[in-house]
Amino acid sequence: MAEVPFLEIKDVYKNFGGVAVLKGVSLTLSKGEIHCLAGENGCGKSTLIKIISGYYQKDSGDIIVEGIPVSTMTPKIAISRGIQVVYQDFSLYPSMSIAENIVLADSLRNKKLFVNWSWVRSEARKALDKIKVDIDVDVSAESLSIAKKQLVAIAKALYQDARLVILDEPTTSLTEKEIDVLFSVLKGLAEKGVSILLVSHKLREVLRISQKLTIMRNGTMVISDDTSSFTESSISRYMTGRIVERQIAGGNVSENAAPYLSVSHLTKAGQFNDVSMAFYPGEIVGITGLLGSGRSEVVKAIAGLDPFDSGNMEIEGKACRFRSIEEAIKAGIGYVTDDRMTEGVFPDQSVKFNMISASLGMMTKNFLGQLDFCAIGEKVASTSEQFNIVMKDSEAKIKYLSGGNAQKVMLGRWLLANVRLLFLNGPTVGVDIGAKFDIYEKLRELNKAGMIIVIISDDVPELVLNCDRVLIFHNGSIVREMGRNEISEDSINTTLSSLM
Amino acid sequence: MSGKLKRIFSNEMARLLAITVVIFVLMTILRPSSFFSVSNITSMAFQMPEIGLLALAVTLSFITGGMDLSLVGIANLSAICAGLALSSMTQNAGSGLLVSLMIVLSIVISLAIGAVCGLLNGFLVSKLKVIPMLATLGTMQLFTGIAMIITKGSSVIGLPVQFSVFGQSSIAFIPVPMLIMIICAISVFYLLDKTKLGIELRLIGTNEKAAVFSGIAVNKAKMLSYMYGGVIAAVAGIIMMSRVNSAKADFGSSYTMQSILVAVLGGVSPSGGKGKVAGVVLAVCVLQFLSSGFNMLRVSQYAKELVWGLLLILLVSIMVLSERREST
Amino acid sequence: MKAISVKKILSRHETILFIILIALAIAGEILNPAFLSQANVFKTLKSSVEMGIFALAFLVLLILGGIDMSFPAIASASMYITIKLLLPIDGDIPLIVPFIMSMGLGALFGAINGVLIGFMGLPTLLVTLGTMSVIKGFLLVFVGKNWITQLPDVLIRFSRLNIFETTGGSGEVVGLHVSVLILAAVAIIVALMLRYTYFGRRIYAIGGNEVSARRDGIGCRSVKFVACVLSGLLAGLAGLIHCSLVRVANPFDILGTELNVIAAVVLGGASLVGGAGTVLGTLLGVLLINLVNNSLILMGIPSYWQDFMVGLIVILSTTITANKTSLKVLLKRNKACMEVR
Repeated sequence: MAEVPFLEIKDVYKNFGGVAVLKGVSLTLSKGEIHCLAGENGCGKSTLIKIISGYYQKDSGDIIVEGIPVSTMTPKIAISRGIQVVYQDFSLYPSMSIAENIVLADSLRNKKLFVNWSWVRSEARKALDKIKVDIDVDVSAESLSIAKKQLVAIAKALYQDARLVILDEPTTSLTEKEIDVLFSVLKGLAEKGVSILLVSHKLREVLRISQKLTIMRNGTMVISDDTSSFTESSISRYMTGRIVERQIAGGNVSENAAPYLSVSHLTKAGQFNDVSMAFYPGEIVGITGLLGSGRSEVVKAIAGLDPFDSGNMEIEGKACRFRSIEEAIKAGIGYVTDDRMTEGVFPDQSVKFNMISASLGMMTKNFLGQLDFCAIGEKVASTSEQFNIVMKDSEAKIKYLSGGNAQKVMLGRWLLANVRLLFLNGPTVGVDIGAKFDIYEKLRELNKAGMIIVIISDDVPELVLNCDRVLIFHNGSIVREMGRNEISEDSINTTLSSLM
Repeated sequence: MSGKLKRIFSNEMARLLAITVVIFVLMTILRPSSFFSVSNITSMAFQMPEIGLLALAVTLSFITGGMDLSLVGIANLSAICAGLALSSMTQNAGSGLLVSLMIVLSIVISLAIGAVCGLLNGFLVSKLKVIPMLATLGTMQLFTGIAMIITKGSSVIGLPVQFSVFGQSSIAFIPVPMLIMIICAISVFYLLDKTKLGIELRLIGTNEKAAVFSGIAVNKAKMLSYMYGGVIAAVAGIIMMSRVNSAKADFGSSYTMQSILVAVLGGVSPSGGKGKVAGVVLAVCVLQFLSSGFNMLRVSQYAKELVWGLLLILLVSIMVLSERREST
Repeated sequence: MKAISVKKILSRHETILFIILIALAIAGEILNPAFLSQANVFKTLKSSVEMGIFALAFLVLLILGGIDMSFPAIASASMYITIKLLLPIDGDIPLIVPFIMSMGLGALFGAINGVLIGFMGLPTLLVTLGTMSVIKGFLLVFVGKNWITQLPDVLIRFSRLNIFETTGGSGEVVGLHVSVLILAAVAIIVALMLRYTYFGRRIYAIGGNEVSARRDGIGCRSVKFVACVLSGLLAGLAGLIHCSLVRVANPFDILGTELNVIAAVVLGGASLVGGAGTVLGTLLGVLLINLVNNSLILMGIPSYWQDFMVGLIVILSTTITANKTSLKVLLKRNKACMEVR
């Protein structure tokens, strides 16, 4: 006997300023089903979510909730029908207690006037009990870890009678253990009949938790089927539309060359322990590992962000140690952050200023620090051309550029800063597919021109496509180093899975 | 036709220039012989620089995303120190050359104190990470307090007559204070638009974290900007003292809000990163034209505050609404 | 069972303030036995009333996430217009009348802020810089700028109204003024509103995370409007009390007190970026500053040390709470940037 699905999306189209973002997408979600919506950045999954939750209006198509069509979906209607979204920023109120965070929105909707705090606290505890999570309801939201905040957000959604909980990239910034907790909470919810829609591009997790999988690419639904019928490589193929072939990367590593940068016995309590690595001229190195494995922390320590406790560092044989990013840059080491929006970009400033921000010292004309704007203009122009940056002109504010172009400006910044070794943390996060391969090309060009590239990434195809060597971290140390011939999606995935 | 007009109004500088011109023309029409006269223009040029300099100093702090509320306190304190030194040094009059030397010395003292006060602000803001508005709230009280303690509340007097050159005389028909303001304005413009430090300050104000990640020495830059602000405030103090031939610890208390108003009217955003010296200069002109014009129209001098407030609200509305339209 | 742990209470900002307050009081008493005399305590309380009510007016908008610069102007205008309107009336007026008038006018001025900040969504700091000038200009140009020394009798009587009285050190009569009760009443009402009504919780929510507040359907515009009206009302109240206590309606003397009030509120633990702050903390901050000022006088330290001491206190206290807040400011600003893209 067929049960009415909780949600049916049929042939939804959406246009933004003439650009078709959704081209006839369909999706079916049953009650109590854990469904994953996967796809690369820019495939339209965020737009679809926003349409389901009423934030945007569809141009055409049907949305049917529990058998009843909804002609115009608004946030209010969505919530009243039980559709709740847990956003990436979790929508919590930082200085408020957990209890209030969970209960507030619902109380307001019920037009309550006066607050009964013991009632609020007991309701919040009940909500947390429902998802079998134990958090002190009296602490403030800002004191919680990201993982706990997310669980509170889920409790909040559930408290408002959610029958469909949509989670947007929920496993970003979570360690393995925290992902376990999250998944068991989600499974519990599904058993109670709540549908879960997970938006993600992390293949491993997708396979672990979901029962059904829908993959989108370029605004269309490519395939929707039971998760069991997919493998990691088939998912990747559907998401990117390409078969990720191993291309011989770098290729200009000379044998027996001396390392440019070598670190030994780097240790920082609680983050990494006795790490030794060397980076040779001409190579592109990949660093990966599960979150919390210390891989980003080591690199940040090397780049001067967060000094290590003990260990040695040598550049071209000379001992050195950086106490600030400034010093690292002067020594030729650059670091491109993964959190481009908060840590990398100057949103209201021009592309020109964004690109020159790390090399201002090199552009001065006199002792007063006057800048040579002609030279700056030339350099920015030539770099923009070299990187194919799409923009009106270099005076355009960077906030109007697409993610991919903004990331290219970041690359340009480091090219102009004359770094010899560039660490990139998640270089193509938030970048659409076309720009991704563009960036890989540019990185390879930079590498050919003499820059050592080190990529920290969770994106296995990215590592496979670009790297000469891959270092895999776990629990604060390097557990595996793969040479050129050993690198493949399977080998990396197998190693990572064995660590979980 | 309306498209061109729209483009003019979408440019902040153009808006401000238009307002300045309109007000000047208006005042000239209303009082042709008195407003558009040499004596009036000269008189306006004497009055503008005090607020103008303070507004320039405040602009420096706005650029990095902070708000320096202590500038008037710095102006007073540095002027008092200079004045005390000067009046005691020149007690036994002596030759004109000696007096001039003393004056130069006292100015050096004043600028030095301005710099030290500014450095204290910079230190609190950058090393101790205190919110600028609060830190300078505290230092304002501190500086005023120290000035009060030194003077016991009374005025510093007994300045040599030559000192009045800064606030009261002209060179080639241009009032000296105006010349000083122009020089300072050019220097701030040069700093903020042409030098490495200035661009760094703008970047820090736009996104401090990204500035750190770009390897910019944020603390050093902030300290230098607050220090320079203190120096400019000290210059303002000298002109104030020279104009009234005395210095007092609580002089010009309304200047704080006025200079902030001028800076904001001039398009400098208190949240950082944005602002042009040209805008500040125009804003000072606007305020001065209104002030003098209202005087001539026998309108209450407080009417200018009314108009300033309305202008500010208008400009802020336009700014916010146009930004909103841009982002959709 | 309520999970109130001793550790939690001890680590709260208000507790630290309270301890500092007590410490200062004890120190003052040791240095000068007349410090904790009834007379002095009453004096300190009386001088805290005006600042206290201003601080509460400021606090409400601060929790919302905005810095309001216009409250002195609103206070000044409300009280002056009230006095001017009541001047020609002979005979007795019920005490409640001038209060209602001043509060009503304050609410009206607050409504102007409310429209600009609430319905048009303009930034509070810049807007109130503007309304401050507009209201001040309006007052001085169209209403009047002269001192009014002939206050209505009922207000003169009010200024002498003490709850109970005692004799001071030099034999003069000192009393606990009734305005202290007014402050207490206002404080209790505002505290209850902030803590136990959903309107108050909405204020905290909007100040804490406005994006989430919008998503949760909190009705930001109307909340902001009402908060502005409330703040203006309180400013009007404070203005009237002020002019009664000094027995003259001087449109200028309230203006310029913004900075002290801001110092007191921040001292009390409220966050400059919004979302946090308590009535208790604010009152403690006000008391602390007034206590310091009073004790300086009692210790025979000349009044011109006052500014210095207040400045020192502000610097020290803000340095201590510095790191927590500056991180919040950075995060908030960056969040705003991300919204654009």
